[in-house]
Amino acid sequence: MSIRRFLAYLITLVGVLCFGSARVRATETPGTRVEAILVWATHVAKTNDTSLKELDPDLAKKLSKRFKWNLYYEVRRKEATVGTKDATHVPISEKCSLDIKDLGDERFEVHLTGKGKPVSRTVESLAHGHIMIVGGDDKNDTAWLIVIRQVPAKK
Amino acid sequence: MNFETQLKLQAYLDGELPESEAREVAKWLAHDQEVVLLLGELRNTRQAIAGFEAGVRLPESREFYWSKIDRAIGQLERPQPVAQKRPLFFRLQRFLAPVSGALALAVILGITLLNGNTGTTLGETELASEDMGAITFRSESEGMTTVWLYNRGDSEFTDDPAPDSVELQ
Repeated sequence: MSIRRFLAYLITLVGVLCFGSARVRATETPGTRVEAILVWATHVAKTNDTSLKELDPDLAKKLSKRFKWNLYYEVRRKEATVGTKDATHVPISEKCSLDIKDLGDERFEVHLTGKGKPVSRTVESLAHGHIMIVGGDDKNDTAWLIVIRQVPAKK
Repeated sequence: MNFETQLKLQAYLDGELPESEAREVAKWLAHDQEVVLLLGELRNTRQAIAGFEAGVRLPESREFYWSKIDRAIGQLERPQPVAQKRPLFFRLQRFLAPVSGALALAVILGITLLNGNTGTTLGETELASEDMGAITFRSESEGMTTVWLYNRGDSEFTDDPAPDSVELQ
């Protein structure tokens, strides 16, 4: 077998592999369900604020192990279907939004925008229940957090 | 004169005929002029050939010379080993070895390219503004990655007022 013929076979094979994989990707589900939860962390209970509700206990417990605050309120929760082709825009508040893109293998690229200006870009795996938190200090020794994770299966 | 007569005449010349047949040939010679002429021709031819025969001498003894010929004939007659037909897999092995290597390389390269690996480390954070800072902590055991954003202007080592940060509401 001549080298030219061998290379032709090899290129054909690689092409078939690429095409086959692309077909598999094309037939995959249209996107991954991802949720972003805006959380307010504080030391002081805000029972009179009806816009706040207590965070899911499991998640609150997880956060309290990491952060110094002992109370976590869910301000807003957004679910979105994230695809591999384009980033999905997820508005979190009037001044803050996320753009999330699926990079494959359960890795996601998260762009944070504040007041219309890009703030940060982070790539993280959200496989096996791994969560990503983007946060910062707020007034009066409180903090804001955005918890990003794949939508967990309903129990 | 037929061919048989010619052969017999040749044998007569060489002295190979039995006595009875030699007498018979002698009678032919006495009566047939054509036979006499042929015998003369054969005799002349023999003399001519005998005169031109080169005296070839063997460089080795006669026995050794013939033993070499005997060995050569023996080698020719020895049955040649029949090429054993190997299974198809073994015949293809020489071809498959380099192909499988190249194939593995192509598959690895293809998977790498298809996965769209951007070369970004997990948990790595890039900031758009130099006024912002970020502390990233990743914990596999806790299943959590934290990206903590802060204003560099909020440092306790400066009295500058803090620039606007990401406000939620």
